[in-house]
Amino acid sequence: MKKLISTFFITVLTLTALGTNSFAGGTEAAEKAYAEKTISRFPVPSVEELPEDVKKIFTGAEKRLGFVPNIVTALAHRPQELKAFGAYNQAINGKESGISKAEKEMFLIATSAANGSTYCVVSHGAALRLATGNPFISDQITANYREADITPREKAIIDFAMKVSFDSKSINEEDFKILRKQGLSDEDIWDVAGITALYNLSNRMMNVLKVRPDEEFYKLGR
Amino acid sequence: MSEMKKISRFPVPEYDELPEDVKQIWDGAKEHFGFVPNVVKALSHRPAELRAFLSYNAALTEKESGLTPADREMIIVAHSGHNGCAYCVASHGAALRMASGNPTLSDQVAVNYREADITPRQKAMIDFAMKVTDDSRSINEEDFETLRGHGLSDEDIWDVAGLTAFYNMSNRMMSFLAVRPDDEFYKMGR
Repeated sequence: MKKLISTFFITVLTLTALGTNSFAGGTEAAEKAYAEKTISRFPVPSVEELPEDVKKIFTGAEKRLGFVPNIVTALAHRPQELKAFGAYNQAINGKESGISKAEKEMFLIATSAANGSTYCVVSHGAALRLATGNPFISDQITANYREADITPREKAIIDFAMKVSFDSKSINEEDFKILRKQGLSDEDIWDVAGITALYNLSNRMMNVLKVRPDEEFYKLGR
Repeated sequence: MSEMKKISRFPVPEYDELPEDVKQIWDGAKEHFGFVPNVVKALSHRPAELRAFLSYNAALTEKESGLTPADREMIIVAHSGHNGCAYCVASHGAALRMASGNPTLSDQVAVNYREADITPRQKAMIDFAMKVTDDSRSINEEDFETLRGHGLSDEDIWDVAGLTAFYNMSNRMMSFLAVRPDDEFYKMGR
């Protein structure tokens, strides 16, 4: 509710400040989205309309993060798909793995940036800063992971995630050998591929829906 | 030679080792297709992911939609061909032949949908699916207008995007695992 109220105020303030100004070169729809800070291209349900199990997802997210992230609000337009995404993420991410939380966030940011998914970069950028305690690392990886302060193992993992994202048809035994040399088990390699594949889905959905990054994420862990 | 016919880069479990619910998935697939497709066998190495994969697919496809089964299959075949996913092209190519009753359509769409015997509406949907695949960051209101002009509702457009995003995930997993297309799929609907 707090989030809804603050969003409402931001909208009202923005509209008041903008008055009747329009932006040169912008389409009407783009102007409207800019002015209203729209969460998604599609309608977002209000909490009261949600099925009980989706309400629980909202309250769970609010408890964990202090707010309901826009990805949850946007996907709630299709409760079945929101639940399916959450379950898939849980299956691949909520398990034992030789890949650390920080390593996962690193390759998610690198591939999401290469896919141009603002929502995923901003939200996982926050998660990486929190996981590492390093306030600069997310910005470095977003711009170019090859120049970032990361270990050779982390770089090898991101190289592989980039290949899964952009040239999965060419993946071969050599790629496995490189990662094994960095201490990854074959199951760890599956984890990298599986999470990367799922976020290639997520990057595309966030871009199609044009989900607005929550302002809270920009500030976390700085 | 037997090495070349491996189902997956990863170990594939025997039927007897499977959890009960995964056994039921294998049984159901066998009843439906006459065989257990290699995608099911390969993902059974990780039952939780197999279940998540199938439920997500069901959430996207087992619902009312303005897209016909043939529309869906040609969207999948086109971008899977573009992504170089042999498994998805062979299996959904079979599904497209069955759904359309057209034995030549899948081969056309897998190579270059722009030259295929499809309607302007279908071409517009695949154009959009290709943009979701290769340049999702540039999607804008114009793309929506184009598809609305072909009679798609906004919910239909989400269906195209959701299906394409899901199969972009699946294409990558199948290529990563090097899942071998089942011989049966090549022959179906010819």
